[in-house]
Formats: sequence, C-alpha cells, structure tokens
Amino acid sequence: MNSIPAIELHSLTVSYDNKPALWNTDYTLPEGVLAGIIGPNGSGKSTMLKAMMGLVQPASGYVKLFGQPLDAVRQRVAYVPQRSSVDWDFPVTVLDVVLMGRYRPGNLFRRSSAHDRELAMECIRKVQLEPFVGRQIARLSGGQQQRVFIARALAQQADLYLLDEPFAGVDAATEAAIMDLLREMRSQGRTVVVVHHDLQSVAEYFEWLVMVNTRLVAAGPVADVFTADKLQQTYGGSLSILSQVGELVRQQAHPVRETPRPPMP
Amino acid sequence: MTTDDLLIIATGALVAVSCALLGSFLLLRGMTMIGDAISHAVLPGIAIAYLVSGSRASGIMLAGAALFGLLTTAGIEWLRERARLQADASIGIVFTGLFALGIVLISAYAGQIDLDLDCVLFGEIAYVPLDLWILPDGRVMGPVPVWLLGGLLLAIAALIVIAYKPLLLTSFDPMHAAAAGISAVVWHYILMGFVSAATVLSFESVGAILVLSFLTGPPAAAFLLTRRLRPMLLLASGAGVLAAGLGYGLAVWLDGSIAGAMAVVIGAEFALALAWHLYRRRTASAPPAEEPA
Amino acid sequence: MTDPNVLWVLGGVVLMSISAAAVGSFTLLQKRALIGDAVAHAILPGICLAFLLSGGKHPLVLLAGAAATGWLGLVTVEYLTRHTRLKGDAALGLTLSVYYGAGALLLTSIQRSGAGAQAGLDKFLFGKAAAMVREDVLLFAGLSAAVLIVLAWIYKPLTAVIFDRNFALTAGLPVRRLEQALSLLTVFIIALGIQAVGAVLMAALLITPAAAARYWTHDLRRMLVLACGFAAVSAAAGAWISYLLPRMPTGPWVVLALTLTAGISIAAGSDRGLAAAWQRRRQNRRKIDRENLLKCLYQLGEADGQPEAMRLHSEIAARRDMPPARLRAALHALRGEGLLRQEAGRAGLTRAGAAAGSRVTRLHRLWELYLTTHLDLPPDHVHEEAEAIEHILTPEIEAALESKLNFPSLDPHNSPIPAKRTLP
Repeated sequence: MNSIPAIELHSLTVSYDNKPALWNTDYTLPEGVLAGIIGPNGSGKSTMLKAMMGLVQPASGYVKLFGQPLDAVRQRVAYVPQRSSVDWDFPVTVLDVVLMGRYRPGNLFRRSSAHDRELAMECIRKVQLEPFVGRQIARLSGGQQQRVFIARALAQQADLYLLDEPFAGVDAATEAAIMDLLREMRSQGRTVVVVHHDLQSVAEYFEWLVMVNTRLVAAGPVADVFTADKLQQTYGGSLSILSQVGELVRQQAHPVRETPRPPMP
Repeated sequence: MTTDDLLIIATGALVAVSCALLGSFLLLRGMTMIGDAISHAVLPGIAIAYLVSGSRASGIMLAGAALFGLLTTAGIEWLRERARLQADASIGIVFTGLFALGIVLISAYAGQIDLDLDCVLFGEIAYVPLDLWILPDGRVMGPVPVWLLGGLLLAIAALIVIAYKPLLLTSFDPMHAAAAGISAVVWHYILMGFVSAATVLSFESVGAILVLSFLTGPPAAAFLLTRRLRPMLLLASGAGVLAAGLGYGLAVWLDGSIAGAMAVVIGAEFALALAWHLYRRRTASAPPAEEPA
Repeated sequence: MTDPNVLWVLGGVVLMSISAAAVGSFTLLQKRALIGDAVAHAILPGICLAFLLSGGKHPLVLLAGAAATGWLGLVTVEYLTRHTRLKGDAALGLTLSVYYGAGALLLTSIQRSGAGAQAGLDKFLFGKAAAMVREDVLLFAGLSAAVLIVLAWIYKPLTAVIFDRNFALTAGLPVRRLEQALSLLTVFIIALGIQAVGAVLMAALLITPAAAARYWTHDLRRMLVLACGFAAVSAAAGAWISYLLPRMPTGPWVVLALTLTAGISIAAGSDRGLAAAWQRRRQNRRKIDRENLLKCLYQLGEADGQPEAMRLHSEIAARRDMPPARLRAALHALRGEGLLRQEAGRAGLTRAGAAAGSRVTRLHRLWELYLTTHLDLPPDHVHEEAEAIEHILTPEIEAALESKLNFPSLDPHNSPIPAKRTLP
C-alpha cells in the first residue's frame, strides 16, 4: 500500500497556554477510512484537530494532509467544530450557513452562483433539513444545529472531513442519520475522522482508531488497537511523569524545542 | 419647516444610516465597545490634524482620525494578545488614555485649534447649513457635511454590497473563515477603519460621543425585532432616520442639544423594541419541536 | 502651592482616586471592567434632574441624583444582558450612549434657559477639582473614605465570591447581597469622582490602576495596595498640574499619569511584564547553552575515554552548532562555576564539570528511553525532544524515571546511560 496517507502527524507537540496538551505525536492515517479519535476529557483530541486545521500552531513537529502542508490542500479539507463555537443567535438561516461552505478566497466578491445554491440545497436535503431551509438557526434543536454544520461541510465537497464531537448532545435518531451519512461519504472514497466520546459505539462505527491521552496511545485498525490493554492506558489516568514535566514546562516557560521548527520536508 | 431644518435632519439621517449599518456588524461581532473606544480615541487624531494643517480641511482630519482609529484597534489587540490583558481592560485603558491626550491637546493649543470642546463632544449640527461648499466660480453646492456624509454612506453601502460574504463569514464564524484561508484580521481592520472615518465625519454634527448612540441603539433595537440580517440592517437604518427627524423636533421644542435629543429618541425606540420583544416572547409558541427522524 | 485650599483639594482627589482604584480592582477581577464606563455616563442625566427638581446646586442633592441614574444605568445593563439576546458589550454601549445623550439634552436645555447658577454643572463633564471649595472637599473626602471603609469591611467574603461564585453559594455566603454592595459602591464612588475628573474619564480611575497592578503581583492584597498606590500618585500629579495650568481640566492629566503607569507596568512588571518574560527566556537560553556545552565535552570524552581532556574549540564547534558569541559566554560562565578549564583555543572539563556533563547526558538518554518505552515513539523521533527536556528534569523526576524504567543501562540508540554520580 504505497498511497499517500490522508493525515500524517510527525513529532507533533501542541501547547495550550504554554503547557503541552499533546506530546510528540506520530501517526499516519490512510485515505478512505472512517476513523475515530477517542480519549478522556482534556486529553488533546480537539487540540489535535485544531492543529491539523492550522487553528493552533504546534510547538514542534508538523502535520501533512495528503502529503502536503495545509495551505496547499485547504480546498480538500472540511472541519466541523463543536456546536458551542458559534453564536446561534446570529441572524442567519440554515441556507445561509450551508452556503458559507461554498465561500472561497476567490469568490468572495461575487454573488453565490446558481450552482452553489443548488449544491447547498442538495446538502440540506441530504441531512433532512429541507423543511427548515429558511429558519433562523437559534430556532433549531441541538440535533438540527449539528446537521446544519455537517451540511456546510458537505457543501465544501472536501476529500477529508474532520468532525469534533458531532454526537454531543444529539438524540439517537439524529446520531444514526449522521452515521449513515458518514458511511455514505466513506463509500465515495472520502476520509472521515470523528472525535468521539462514547466507547460503546466505537467498534460499530469505526474501522480505524486513534487513542489519545495527552500523547498517542495507539493508532491503527480498530480490531488491532481496541484492546483492554490500550483502553487501560488511554482511560486509566495520565502518565504522571509526563504531567509533572508538562507542568514544569509551563511554569518556567521552557521551550519544547531548542531550535525553531525546521521547514517540513 | 425651512430648508435649513431639512438640511439638518438630512445630515442627521446620513449619520444615522452610516452608523446603523456599521453598528449592526459591530453588534454581531461583539465589538460594540471597540466602536465606543474608536469614537473617543480619534480625538487626538483630530487635534493633531488641526495643528498640522491649521484648518478644518477634511482630508487631513480624515487621515488623522483613521490613523488613530487603527492605532486604537491595534493597541487593543496588542494588549489582549501580547500583554495578555483581559479584553475589557484593554479597551478601557486605550480609549481613556487617548481621549485624555486629545483633551489635553485641545486645551493646550486652544488658540491654534479652532475646536470647542463642547462642540467636539456634543456636536453642533445646527451650524451645518452654514458650512457651505462654494465652488471657485461662486456656485453654492450646499453644506459640506452633507456631501461628506453622503460620500461616506455611499462608501459603506458599497462595502456591504461588495464585501457581504467575507463580512458575514468573519462575523458569524471566524474559525471557519480562518480554516478556509480567509483572514478575519484583515476584515476586522477594514471595518474599524470605516468606523474611524464615520466618527470623524460625524463629530462635527453629532459630536464624538453621541456617534455611539447611533452605532449602538438602532442596531440593538433591530436585533430584537428580527432574526434576519438584511431586515436587521434595514430596520436599523430606518430607526436611525426616524430618530434624526424626531430628535430634531424634540431639541427645538426643549431648546437643547440636537444630538442629545436624537439619542433620547433612540433610547425610546429601543425601549419600544424591547417591550415588543418581551411581549412576543411571553406569547410565543413552544420552543423548537424535535423533528421526526 | 502652600495655599491650604489647594492642599485640601489635592487630598480629596487623592483619597477619591484610592477608593476608585480599590473598587475598580474588584470589578476588574469580575471581568466587568467597563461597567464603570456605563455608570459614569449614566450619571449625567441624574445630576441635571436633581438640579432641575431642587432648583439649586447643593452637592448632596446632586450626588443623590447622580447615584440614582447611575444605579439605574447599571441595572439596565444587567437586565439587558440577562433577559434579552443582547450580549454584554451591546448592552453597555447602548446604555452609556442613551443615558449620556439624555444628560446632554438636559444639560444644554438648562444652560440655554439662562440663570447663571448652572455654570457649575459644566465641571461634571470634564472635572475641575480646583473649583471645589473647602466644605465641598470635606464632604468629598469623607464620602470617599466611607467607601473605603465599607470595602474593607466586606473584603473577605467579597473575594471569595469573585474567585468562585458557586463555591461561595454553597458555603452559604450572601452572594447576591455582596455583589449588590459592590455595585452600589461602584455607583457611589463614580458619582463622587465625576466632579474631579469628569464623566468620560472616570472609568479609567477604576480600570487602569488595577490593570497596572496585575503586572507586578497575582496576590490580591498586594494588587489592591499597589493599585491604590498608583492611583494616589497619579491623582496627585494630575491635580497638581491642573492647578499650575488653570485652563487645563484635572481629569485628563490624572488619566495620562495612570496610563503612563500602566505602560511602565506592562513593560517592566515583575510578574507578567514583558521585560520579565524576556528575562526568563534569556535565563532559559543561557542555562541551555551551558548544559549543552557540558554535554558536548562529556560526550567527546566518552568517545575517547578521556572525560577531562582539553579540546580544541573547533572540535566543540564541529559537534555542537552554537553561535560563537554564545559559545564564548557559556565557556566563560562554566569556568566561573569551576566546571571548566580554559587555555588558549582549548577548553576541558574539571572533575565537577565531568560529573555535571554526565548528568545532563544521563537525563537526555533516560528521557529518550522513556519516550520509546512509554510513548511508543520510534528511536529516531526522540532525540529532538530529549535535547530540550534534558534541561528541565529535576532530581525527583530523574529518580522517578529511573525507577519506572527499571534502572536501565542503555538508551534506545544503545549508548550507555551514565551512572549517577555524587557531585564533589
């Protein structure tokens, strides 16, 4: 299998408020899989996604998507953040938000094209929100709001989808509908990565798994890594030495690398 | 109602619409108090422009104000990001420091700066009809402020029409904008630049401080009345124009500050909008129903 | 300058500023710094109404009017934030501009309706401390002191509420009443202070001294003391200049002094100031350079079995890439510590230096081993991080590592892990 991985993390350390939230993380994720990222709260899962999207700068190491830095492949990546990241009182409708998925630096000063609109409507249909097309987003339920975000990501027509806890606070029916959608996307050859919080459904949902606990515990096919031993390492408390060193790094504002990051190869 | 009355109201209306449009975006971005800061902090820019140019030449004043407006924006950002100071304190320190500087300059150079401090704060819109633009060949083109404010409004309208998508995106979801490669920072500075320009062009008519009532009141009222963006912009503009007209009438009746009266009318409009909003909420139907799977 | 009236006014202004700084410290910590701005603007209509209704300029009446609408403004902001979709910043901006506009309208109507008595109302806009007469000052100072006394009385429970509101609730503290007391004190001190510095700038007296103090300490008591100190000095300076230059209002000069203090604090403050951060970075860099040099010399010694041999500078430079100026500084520092001997163009470790070098090498290799065994990292991915972390590991962590790794003798690259030595 010589294809370029969808995601490659190399010695990635990401700090939050001077303290490493993710230590020296290294793995690759192949194209075309439906992958889950699991770990306890505050273990660096969201931080990992944000580093992939360039929303936080790593203290060391790098991320490559499809073998290239983010800037070269932005059009091919879609990010679905947690619902709390947006003010839902904003006076926009479902259609407005999904259309935003079509915005590119190149088409900012032109009206949305008919093609854009049709595509947005199709995505809205796919998430079964067609009756709510003109509704302002505060007047949607939690599950509906999540589906708006997903429709927006679909409208981006990306090859890689990163979803941060899409099932948080969402009813079972919506969760099932979203999973069906994700499976469909995967069968079309897209890569889907989901930060997930419910261990019960891991084996059923995902074929690839990344287990995180401030550092990488395991990454690989679910059958290989979803074991009692790895779960214990993931959820059984953090590495105490690592925590202590992380705390020292923060207190002394110590650099995590002696030399500034070299340009990525 | 004389022509002069109409001119005064028109000037107020132009200020009102410009500020309503800009203020709506400020409100949605949570940057109202930065708008407040800018409207105060342009004062030293105006004073220095006076000292430098020796006159009320609007071009130089505009430049001075724009400079200080952007300085304010940058200063607040710097304090928040680099000095790690909480956002509200960053705003407070920057605008009070610059405003104090402005007052000191105006008081110290009162001889050279033909600016009355009262006028700066409250404006003197009644003088607008007197401030005429006279062409070299003697033709009278009407009051200068009307032309300037008209030009400002055109520029703002053009901005909103042309840059609607980036303004909307960076206001609603700056993280998504950043991920898509669209710089939220650039649009932040563009918007604040326009706010600086609006402040300086309006200060002669409504005063530096009262520009804020036009920036905050009508958009807040509109926000409570509608959940769509385009209606919000229209409602805010309408509320502003109404306040300009009614405010003038109120000021004439009480023989008081015209700008102050306009602010009071804005307050009344907001109170009505609030009452409507609360009434609607009380009699509204149940919260959004769970849709069938 | 020895005019007693001047000294009285100076004293009054200083005392008021201290009270404002103390109150402002609490609102800053509550993240409600700009509420003072809203209240200061909301006060104007109250003063005008009090004047109109009482027909005179008695200070206590005006003060009462000011406090009334100031309080109303504060309540408006809180109500809007809590009960509508408007966010805090919109509520603040709206409240302050509308109330101030109402005040402006009332003020100008009063001014234009004749009667010279209202001339004094002007000073409420910009403040003119010099216009205060002695009786006014006594009242002014007395009320400021009262604010300080009340604040001192509720200081302890108020602090608890600000740091952890939920905990204070469960602990049975009268949280709502304490918060209201703080709000009342805020309104009161602002109503009082406006006469000296004016409405627009009053917010600065609450925000700036407290913000400046934050850069010197994170201890609340010390922060309060510093904030009051900054306020006192700035107020004295401002009031004094206002006297020297009769055309100048007091407010702006006090605020300029405060802003200058804030600027200096941000740059030079020992706790969070920029200079302190720069200093910390410099110290880190120096330590890293010194330890890298020790390690380099030690490893050269590992290669040929002579840990204390003299090495040419060029040998060192070949192995460890360091800018010449920093290399020189590190050589010099190590020599000063007795860890290094130097001759023309050559340097070598002393016995103590060899021990120190061995320790750094030991930490480096222990951390590499930890990364490969406990983080499952491949051996070629651990060197860079160990290069940085080796400088920060304490003896306690060193012991924990050893025990966790079961007293290892080889690192992931099969280099020997030096034994622990007791330093001579």
